[in-house]
Amino acid sequence: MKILKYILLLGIVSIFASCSEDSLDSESIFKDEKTTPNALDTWLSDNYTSPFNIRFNYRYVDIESDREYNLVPAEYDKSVALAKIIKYLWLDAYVEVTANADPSFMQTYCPKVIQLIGSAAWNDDGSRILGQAEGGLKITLYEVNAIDLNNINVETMNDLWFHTMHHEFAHILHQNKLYSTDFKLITGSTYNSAGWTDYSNTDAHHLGYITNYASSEPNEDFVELVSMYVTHTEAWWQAMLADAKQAQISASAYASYANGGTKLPDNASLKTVTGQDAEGNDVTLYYLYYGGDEKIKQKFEIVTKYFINSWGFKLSDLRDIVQRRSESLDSLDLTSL
Amino acid sequence: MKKIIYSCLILATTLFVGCTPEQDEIFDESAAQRIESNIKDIVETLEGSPNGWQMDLFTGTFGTNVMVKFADGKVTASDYLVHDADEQSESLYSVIQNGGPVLTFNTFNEIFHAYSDPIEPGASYGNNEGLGADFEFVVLSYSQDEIILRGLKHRRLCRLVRQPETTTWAETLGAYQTMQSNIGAPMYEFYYNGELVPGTSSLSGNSLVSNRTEAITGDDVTEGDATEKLVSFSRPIVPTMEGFRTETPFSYTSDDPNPTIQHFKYDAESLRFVCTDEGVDMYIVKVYPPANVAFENVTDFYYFNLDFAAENAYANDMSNAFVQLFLTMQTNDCSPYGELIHRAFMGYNPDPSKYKADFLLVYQTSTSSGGYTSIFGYSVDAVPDTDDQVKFSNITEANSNAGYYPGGKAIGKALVDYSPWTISYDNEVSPNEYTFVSTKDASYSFKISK
Repeated sequence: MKILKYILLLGIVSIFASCSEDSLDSESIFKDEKTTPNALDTWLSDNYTSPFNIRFNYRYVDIESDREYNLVPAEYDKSVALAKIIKYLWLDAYVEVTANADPSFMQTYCPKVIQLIGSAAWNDDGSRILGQAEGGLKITLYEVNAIDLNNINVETMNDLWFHTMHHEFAHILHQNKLYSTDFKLITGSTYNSAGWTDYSNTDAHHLGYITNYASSEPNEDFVELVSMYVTHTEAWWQAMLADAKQAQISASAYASYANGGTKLPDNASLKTVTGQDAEGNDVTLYYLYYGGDEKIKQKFEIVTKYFINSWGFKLSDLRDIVQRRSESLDSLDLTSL
Repeated sequence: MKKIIYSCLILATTLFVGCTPEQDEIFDESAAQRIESNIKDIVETLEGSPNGWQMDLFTGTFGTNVMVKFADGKVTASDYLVHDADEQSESLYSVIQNGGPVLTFNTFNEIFHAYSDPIEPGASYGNNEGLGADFEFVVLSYSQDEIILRGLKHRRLCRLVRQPETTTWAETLGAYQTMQSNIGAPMYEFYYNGELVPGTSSLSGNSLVSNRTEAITGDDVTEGDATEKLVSFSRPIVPTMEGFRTETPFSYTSDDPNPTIQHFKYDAESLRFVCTDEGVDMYIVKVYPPANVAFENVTDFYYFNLDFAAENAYANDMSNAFVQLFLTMQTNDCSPYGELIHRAFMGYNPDPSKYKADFLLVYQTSTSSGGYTSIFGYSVDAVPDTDDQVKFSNITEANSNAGYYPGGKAIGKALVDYSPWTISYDNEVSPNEYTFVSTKDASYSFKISK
């Protein structure tokens, strides 16, 4: 019986041994698309892919694009300009600010795919998407064909793209290193994920948010503070804080609020300030006081500490760099590669 | 012992059967190699035509002709519909693997992508789809002379035909443009199997539209029911050198599994487009009716020559009585609300499901922050036994804004009150202007134009 078992075992082993497969084909079935590199391809390879491992898709790539929308590709010349602007105004700004703290910062954390789209992504209701980010890996920028190469306007570009890029990149950062939970407590009772579109930006300022979208939830609040701060000047920042603090009203409006003829907003109180005008006459100014500026300042203090402690640089330094580069954008050659 | 031997035998047989290491090779190369070689072939074919290709490009509603030439990864395009035929635009293209070989025009080409660029919803001439053409195409078949493509997104069938080296693009586009003009006519009559297709059918806007009335027969018909039903369909058409063709074949038999009507040849002498598909007896005749019948069948809008929103407001090409009617509307209905009459036009009803009227009279006003559109419906009929008189009737409010513009309705009412009108057009082939003079009071007259 034992012999029979051994024979059986031997038979099975032999059979399996005879069943060897052919060696695998050394060529992968997944091929990279082969196109002869043009000047932009080479420039992108040298400036995005090799140093940062970023794939910069200026050509329309079906599988990287949102097929829910009707889109068209970006123009070649405008892609050249935007590739250079993104590097100068966004990528190199972070490289510069982190040069001492972590020279490999951008290589480690930057999104790995940037996809350009020529047209807007229109929704049926007439709204449109300016930029999209997916899981910290890919950023899609729309309306590239709207760039006027003869009239580069930084403010327009901030609205269209750079606000989105700083916003999404800040998400990547806080997902890697958490910020203080104290942040969420400052305006914790007024986040409104479903109804934030009902607020104007001024409404949001009064509640202690830098934009209406910031009031949707704490993480958006955090990254909106970062992106709005970095892409705006100090003068804009102070004007925003002033707007968040109070709103001037007429004496009659003040009286109507005071005597109950008009209902006072839940988050406001009445305030007067007396002083003298330029000719030395006594004047009284009337306000609805909201105090949103204090909440924004408290949250922003946590944001600035987070960047120093977690990433080793000051957000104000990043803003200075971005603003300096914005001012010198005119000198950037946006056509030759 | 026997049991063990049988077990061994069964086991060995089973394992040997499952262990057939050799497979019959159907193809000489792996799938990846074949796709790669296929893509290379397609690029060589595309770039192998030194004078490029004639492309039939279909949008959501119409077809058109575009010239394209491929060289060194770049594509040059030219058309005659959106741009002048002597303009060219260059961009990049690729042939990639995406579930099959795909030809993609993957950087923006001002001419080619004009047919797919999305438009802001609510824009006067489109929606967020734009014209709805594709710019990425699955290559269904290819040869040195013809390449058949299917759009990746909208799945529209397109065709590339090799451009002869001896013919210039200007000559080819000119020939297509001529055929495009030949297709145009105020009215059409469709004949199928020798009989006039009942209803109204047209080729306007490079779209073959057939609105056929069909008698209702059979057991379902009971007393009091309608005796006929409307069977409608439309097919984008594209001019060809001989005439035109539809994107896909169609049939007048609803249960026909293999429709065959697709290609038409133009006969300039008889003004007919005759179907050349085998076994099909069909032709389409261009009809040039008198002015009153042509206006009764318009499929366009015609505009009053006025614009109170212009820097120097004007109301031209109308009698003083009509100017006064517009001024009354402006003064009473618009000025108090900061509005200015920007445009006024009349013509067909493009959406009968939305506006319950035969024809539409439309006013657009503008304000500093936007504007309003008020729409009235009306009917118009050619006066029997005349070829130059029409009668307006049945003015109705066709949208919710209309109620705010009684002055606009008064203009429509004047059309009714001063009917019949003598009507004339600038040309019978493709009327661009219609002039109306009241037969009741000649001081009421106006002209409208495309």
